[in-house]
Amino acid sequence: MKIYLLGGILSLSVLAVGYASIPTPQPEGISVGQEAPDFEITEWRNFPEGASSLADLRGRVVLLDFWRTW
Amino acid sequence: MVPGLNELQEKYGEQGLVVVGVTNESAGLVETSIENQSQTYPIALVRGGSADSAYGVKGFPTVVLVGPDGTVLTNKDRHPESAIVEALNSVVLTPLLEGQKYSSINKAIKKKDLGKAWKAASAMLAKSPEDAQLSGLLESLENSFESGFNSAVAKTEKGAFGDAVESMEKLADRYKGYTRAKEALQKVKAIKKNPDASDDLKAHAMLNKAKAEFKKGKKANRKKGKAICAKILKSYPDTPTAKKARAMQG
Repeated sequence: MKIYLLGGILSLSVLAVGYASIPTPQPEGISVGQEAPDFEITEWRNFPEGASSLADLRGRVVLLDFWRTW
Repeated sequence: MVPGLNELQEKYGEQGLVVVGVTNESAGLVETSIENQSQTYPIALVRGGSADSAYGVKGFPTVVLVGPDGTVLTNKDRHPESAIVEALNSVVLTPLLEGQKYSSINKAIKKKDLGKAWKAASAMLAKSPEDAQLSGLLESLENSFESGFNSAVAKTEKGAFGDAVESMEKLADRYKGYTRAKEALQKVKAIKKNPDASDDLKAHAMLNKAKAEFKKGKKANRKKGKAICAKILKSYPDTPTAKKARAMQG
């Protein structure tokens, strides 16, 4: 029982550290300071105000998260 | 990842952060994912691989933070909260006023015609000096001008004259009609007269041409853009603009 518990704590802490320190795959097309390339957005979810491209969000801070469902 | 992004959007959305999940997958897949993973932050559907390739995405998730002026702030950090907080300092959110009588002011704000909004609000406030919505708006407009002006002055001090002129001109345009808008134009004049500024201004004008080429997006245009960047690096290597040209060359 004790061993299991310890295992649980260990894996939890690995997860917690992992979350903070796994670097994101670095994009190779852009560098800090350059203009963020614009792209068209065809549809939104969770964003009723909408925007047809990234440039429409100028004036706000935008955190782009390139992701896939898999 | 999802809880972290939901949390960031919830925490900083009102201050001007938009978390945008970018995917080229089908709406059906995305909706299933939203159901299963409870994403509450905005998801943008894009077509094909052009967004991924424009950013050189090599794996998922890739996180890029973009500032209010449209420049890339970080591209290495998966959870760049401190950079977000810092960037939010320069966001100016002008809240719309509540009430039919403010419709023309709201219209000006929506069009980012902030000088017009300022003028209309001051005229209205003169008639009803107790109106807290109006005085609040004027204060936020004046503060936002001030912070934009100061950040442009800081650029001048760093020698980034081209950037400074561009910011000052934008500011003067947005705040046309506001009493201090002229100060921005005076700064522009002074910078243009300053002999130390001339290299960076020339380099900056070239960089704008390069940007226009990059924007067209075709291979031949990108080549042209890169050639302009190379010229900037050769002719004006010590200017702050040269750094940007180097970054754009990729």
